[in-house]
Amino acid sequence: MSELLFNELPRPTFRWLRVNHTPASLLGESEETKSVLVKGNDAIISELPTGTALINPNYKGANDVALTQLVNSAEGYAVHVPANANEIVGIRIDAGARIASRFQFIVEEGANLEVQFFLDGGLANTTNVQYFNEYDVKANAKVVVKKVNLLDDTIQHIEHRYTKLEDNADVEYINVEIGGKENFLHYEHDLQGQSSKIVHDIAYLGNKEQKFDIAMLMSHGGKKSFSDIHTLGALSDTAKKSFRGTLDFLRGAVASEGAEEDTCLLLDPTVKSISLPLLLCKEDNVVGNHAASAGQIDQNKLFYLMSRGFSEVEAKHIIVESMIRPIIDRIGDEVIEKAALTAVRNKI
Amino acid sequence: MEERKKTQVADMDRGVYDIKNNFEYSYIADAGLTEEIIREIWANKNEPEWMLDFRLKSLEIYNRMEIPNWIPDISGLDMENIYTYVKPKVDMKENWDEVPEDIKSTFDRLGIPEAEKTSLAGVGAQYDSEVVYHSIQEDLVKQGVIYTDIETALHEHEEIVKKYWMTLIPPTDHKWAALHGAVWSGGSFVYVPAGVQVDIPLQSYFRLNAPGAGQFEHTMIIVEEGAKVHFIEGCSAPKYDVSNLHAGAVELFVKDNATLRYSTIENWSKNMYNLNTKRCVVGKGGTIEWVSGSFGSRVSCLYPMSILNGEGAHAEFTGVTFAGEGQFLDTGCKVVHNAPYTTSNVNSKSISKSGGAAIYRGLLKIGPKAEHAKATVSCESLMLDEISQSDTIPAIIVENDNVDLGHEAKIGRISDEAIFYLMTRGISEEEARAMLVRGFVEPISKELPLEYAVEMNNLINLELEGSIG
Repeated sequence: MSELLFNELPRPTFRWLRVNHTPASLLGESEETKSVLVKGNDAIISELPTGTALINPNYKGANDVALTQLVNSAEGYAVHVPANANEIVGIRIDAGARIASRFQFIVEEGANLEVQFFLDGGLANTTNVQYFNEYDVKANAKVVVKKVNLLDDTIQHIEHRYTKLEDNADVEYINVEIGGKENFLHYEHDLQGQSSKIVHDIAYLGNKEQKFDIAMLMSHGGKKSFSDIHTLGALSDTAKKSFRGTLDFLRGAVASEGAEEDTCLLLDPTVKSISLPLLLCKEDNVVGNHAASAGQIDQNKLFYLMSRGFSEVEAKHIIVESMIRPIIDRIGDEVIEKAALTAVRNKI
Repeated sequence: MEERKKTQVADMDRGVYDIKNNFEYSYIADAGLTEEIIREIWANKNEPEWMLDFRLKSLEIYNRMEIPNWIPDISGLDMENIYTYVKPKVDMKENWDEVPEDIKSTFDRLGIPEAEKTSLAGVGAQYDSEVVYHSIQEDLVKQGVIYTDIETALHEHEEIVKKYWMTLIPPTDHKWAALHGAVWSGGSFVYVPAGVQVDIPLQSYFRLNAPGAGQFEHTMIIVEEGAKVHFIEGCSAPKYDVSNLHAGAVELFVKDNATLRYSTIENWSKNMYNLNTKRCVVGKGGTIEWVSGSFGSRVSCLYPMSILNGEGAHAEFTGVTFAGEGQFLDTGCKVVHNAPYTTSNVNSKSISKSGGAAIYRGLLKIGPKAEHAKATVSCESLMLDEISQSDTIPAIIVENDNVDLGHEAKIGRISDEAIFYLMTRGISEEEARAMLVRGFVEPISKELPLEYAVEMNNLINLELEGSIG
């Protein structure tokens, strides 16, 4: 396939910077094999036929062409959580083959859903893992999604995720992104409901030639809606991170609050960090904040740890791990947490 | 119900800025942009041959370049109807008494001759496409400081001008840089020799009186090693029913250990498309300080850029943008760190009201060689009503690990509690709101020369009048 433009910025800026999007081709062979395991209450899980309509037909994903192709070709899973129910769903993707799949979650009023999303595996040759997650979170429902990406560094990993939040809907997303060769992550969260709330935390750790290309749009339409984006991570070797975060306060989003913070620890002189934290505002009665920071490991922390007998390398390990670990600790599954921590330690 | 007092910007009295003179000129090029017009401008200005080649090449680039896809809507600007060159009815003078009365009155009302007497070391005044007045204090001339209009510099210091001419803003940079290269006229030239400290500011004021005209002044400032200067630029125009265009270029060269402060208040009328480009390159240990106020114009695209090429170079940007009804002010700044131990601070504030849009667009780039670079960016936006727009679009690119970088932005509105508190102290709601807005921009206004700080406060009062509904 020819080159596509991934994660386009909702409001482009200076063209010569070449940051308005990331050009890439879809990698891997064309043959698809399903290697997806979904565990949970069978009564709420069903097949999602190819071509099923999107919750938001205007959602374009990381790339419009790639998403349309996925929707038209991939089967998937529909998860429908009835009103006031409490459910846990586990999804495991083993990238031992090319993956193309969809997951559509409808969480009815007052229900609680936890999703554990785990990705690992890979092939000797480069291949593509692409999937589309949609969450329709009804009034007073609560959703927690914990995702851990430990894919091999041969994988091109593309996630499209769309969330619709009704009144008082409460969503918490946790991403631990450690694997993958090229990661294109596109998240669009539509806070339509009054007092809807979403918190999205992403921890990443990149080395060698890894790329993390993250786009996030928080669209505030509902009154008193609340959003918080927090990305933090570390890069070494020639790893590259692009963060395109947008807080969009639409007219009518009275008394809404949004915040985004991008923190990147740079461990080698050859890394590259791009940060585009946009704040778009058409409503005066809102509070919007964003912050971005990039830098080396704090020399005082390093000095302190070395004064306690750790070598410089050990001290750096401790500092990077201590930064990412609070997010890993929120996964709540001991086996996955241990696997994630091992991956972190192997990488630093 | 009490009738609400609402200000209509179209009816707003902008005081001295809106007083227009009769449209008189000694020469005017045809409207539009053709090779013949470029040749006419060149011949009229008696420029060297290389400048004609430069102008024609720029026109070629202009014709093949696209309008950037990210800028605000400029569909109201029709180049076919813009007069690119309007020569006023007077040549440049060094005595205000020799300047025609109506033009002199314009600058009198703007306070330029008075400021010259009290607080400036040199003054330049441009009217439409040409500089009509220029002066500099004798002691500065003796120290080797050159402050003149760019046309005179092109004749008397051709080698210097040619060496630096559009090297920082090449015509290939963007469509309006190419347009500027083709039709530029007027502007100032400043040369400060090594080690010379110019303690009192120099000021150029650009006034566009002609309806439907463009102003394309070129400002070139070279501050040699260890020298220091403060340059003030003011711009205004009366309001017309037709579109005007401003596509100036400012090229600043700050050498090792030199310091330049560049202060601007842009107060164009609201029929103006302000597509201006400003750029500065800074050598080892040098400093550039931008102080910028953007008030007028229908559309503005203005992002002063600092390129820190020398070790330890420093850039400081302090800017305020105030967008009212019908205005789309897309402003900000760019800083590129190319050398070790470079530092930069950006402090930007914007206010939008009555449906105006204030956009902060910025770039902070720390290149692979800029080890130990330190940079901070702070953007604050204030929205005064629910029909306005305020966006922040920053780009932060870091290409080495040894940096210390922080960026913060906030959007919000005036706190009701603060207004309530001031009203309990006997202050009217309107005045309370104006006080809070003035307080919001105070960190910027205190950096401006006094008369410009007063002008900015007057502009804020003018913009806020009757906005409490």
